[in-house]
Amino acid sequence: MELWHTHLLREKIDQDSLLVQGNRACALGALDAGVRFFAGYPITPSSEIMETLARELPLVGGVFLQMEDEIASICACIGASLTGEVALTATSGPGFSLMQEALGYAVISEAPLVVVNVMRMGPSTGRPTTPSQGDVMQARWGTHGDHPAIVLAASNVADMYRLTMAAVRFAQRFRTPVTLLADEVVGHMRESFSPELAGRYRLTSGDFDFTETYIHPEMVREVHPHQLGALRHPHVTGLIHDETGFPTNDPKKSEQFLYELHDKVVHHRDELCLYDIKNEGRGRVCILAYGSCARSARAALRLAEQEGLPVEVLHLYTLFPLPVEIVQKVARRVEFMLIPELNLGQYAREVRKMAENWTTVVSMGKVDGTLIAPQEILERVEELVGKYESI
Amino acid sequence: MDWCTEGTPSLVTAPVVTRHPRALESVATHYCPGCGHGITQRLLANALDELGVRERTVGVAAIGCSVLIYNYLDVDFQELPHGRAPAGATGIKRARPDLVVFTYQGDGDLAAIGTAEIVHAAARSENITVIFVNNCVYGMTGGQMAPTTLVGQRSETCREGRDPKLHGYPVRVAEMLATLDGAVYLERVSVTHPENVKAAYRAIRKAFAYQLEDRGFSLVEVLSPCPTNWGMTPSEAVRWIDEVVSRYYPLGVIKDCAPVHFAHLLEHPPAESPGAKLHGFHYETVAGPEADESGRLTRPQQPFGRRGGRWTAISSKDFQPESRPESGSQAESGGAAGSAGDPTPEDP
Ligand SMILES: Cc1ncc(C[n+]2csc(CCOP(=O)(O)OP(=O)(O)O)c2C)c(N)n1
Ligand code: SF4
Ligand SMILES: [Mg+2]
Repeated sequence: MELWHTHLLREKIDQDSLLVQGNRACALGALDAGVRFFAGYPITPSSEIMETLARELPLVGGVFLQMEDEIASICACIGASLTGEVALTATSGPGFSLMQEALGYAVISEAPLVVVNVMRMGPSTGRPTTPSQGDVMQARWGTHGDHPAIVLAASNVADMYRLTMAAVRFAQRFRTPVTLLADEVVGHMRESFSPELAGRYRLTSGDFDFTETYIHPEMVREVHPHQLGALRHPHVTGLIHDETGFPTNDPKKSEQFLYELHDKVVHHRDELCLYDIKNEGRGRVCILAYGSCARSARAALRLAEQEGLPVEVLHLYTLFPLPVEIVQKVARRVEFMLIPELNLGQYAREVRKMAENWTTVVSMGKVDGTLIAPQEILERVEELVGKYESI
Repeated sequence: MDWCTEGTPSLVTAPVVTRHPRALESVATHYCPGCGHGITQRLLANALDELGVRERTVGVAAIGCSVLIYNYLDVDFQELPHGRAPAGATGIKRARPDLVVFTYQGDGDLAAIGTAEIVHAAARSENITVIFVNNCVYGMTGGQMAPTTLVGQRSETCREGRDPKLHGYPVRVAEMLATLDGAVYLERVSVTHPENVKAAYRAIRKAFAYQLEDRGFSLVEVLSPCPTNWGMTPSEAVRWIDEVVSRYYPLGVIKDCAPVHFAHLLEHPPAESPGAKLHGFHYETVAGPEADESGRLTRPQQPFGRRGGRWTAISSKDFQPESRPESGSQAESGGAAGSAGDPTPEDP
């Protein structure tokens, strides 16, 4: 049974876990993380996030807005964000493309906000109800110019909840937009779920209490460096600016500004890179996976164990900034890194850059609109292990 | 039944039995029972046949349930990103002025994300024809609020009914475009009853005829039922258009810059639909917001459509005789001020 009211849901959940849809879990995570402002535009397969928040936000004193398109949606979120609100918007491929210019504005004006992109098959209208991971590099490089990006990837319903919370936290702490990627299957699947358990989840990358919001919304208002409407008369601009907030053409200052934007993200990789390793140190083949493919990878691991194959799984929750340390650490000890993903090898290219010196990176892309089955991964693993043994 | 005429280039119509238009594919549509898209597309096909332009017509489809028109009309088709059809149509028409170019767009597509494109196509007076299917809702994505959703109407993103305080007011597209000098012909029709359907056909045919005579931008707004997302049966949906929607969006010619030149196309008197009596810029707000003592707008008490968060049909209570005008004459005399969708006090 699925309930419309998440507040009802929350009461129920105290007793036992319930069947919840991924998109609704995302909305619930947003509410629990203190998001009180949503502006969006309907698009399959993300509309349920919007529909749930349309219901729930007014009940907790928040603002829900349906805008005329995705450009207006993200701009409204930026406006709200600059007044100290915690703002979130949700969309899918075509809408995410429209948001790109404003996303760059949010980066340069350091406006914290969360963009959830429930990926569908593209380009363009593509196949709207089909899962895909085709927007991975767009999430990294979609907006023009050199810019940092924080990109998370959810693989199940509980992830939709906890990674939404993590995204809110990262956005506030690093004062930058954070993209949460899901795909049609993760957004629409229903799984048993309890916020309690999802929030207490442990990762190999360290204890990460997803339920703890980094800065309370009230506090954001206190520490906001260029908050509008707080009698500080700030100036916020999409131009390159110096510490006064006003534009500058000074080469030194411009360079310093761009480096600072980067460094605040890249220098905190240890904090930002969330991952989980299964069967750590026991594999000759590492399946590196994220999003819905990570589910298949975990299932493939169980199958491989039954066959006695030496496999480990590196499940990435943070795609960008690149989790260089952990990928290289694993790369040093495995013969192959196998990367199943629902695109033509977008992330495999990134992994290759990081790991090529130590291991053979094998891309396993699929773009027919169906998921990668555990059995398919297993077959590739068997092939690779066979190759390894024959060397 | 002139609108059933088969593809003769002559504009002189003869009553014939229903024949399948050449420009319409012989397939069953996927549209929901009671949907207005099918009727509108049939009328389009008839008009293209009658004007004899099927072979040189290019349709530009929008994103929405409207997009599936490419399955049903036997003309060249292009789809464009959500809202951008008028820009693509502009490109086609400017590159090949000999082609007959039309866009076929829903209300979410045209009046929300595509507002800039439609306004500027009209301002440039592009010589194209726009068929604008207004069903007051985002159909394809599952019934969210559209810019055209009526005050008080329930949708997936305004489940208590559209509240002007939160969501603003519905957009009357044809009236808005009428302020632009580039817009030559704007008419609003509906596809509910045979009389209305006939009027719709005449409007569509005329819009294409204007294009053939290089008149510039024309748009026909079609009030079209979406029973699925309104939570109504097809017949309730038709009634809702006749009794409520077409009172907020009055039927008839909104603007026609060249009626004299085209008298030969207008062999028929204006449609005798009740809404047609509300021509021009005189309309009343139905189910509109009520002002309280302080003058603030309050939420209408009787939203239409889905009830109680479930996908149930609207009950006949919403159509209580005392809460709607007796007949067209009452509406005409201006006596309708306190009628129509006004919440009845004894209603809970
Ligand atoms: C940029 C972008 N945003 C959102 C969507 C999702 N979308 C597809 S159809 C549609 C609604 C169309 O509604 P309308 O134009 O009213 O047509 P109807 O289905 O009612 O005929 C939306 C929002 C999209 N395809 N592209
Ligand atoms: S959802 Fe509405 S517009 Fe779409 S086919 Fe069904 S009735 Fe027609
Ligand atoms: Mg519509």
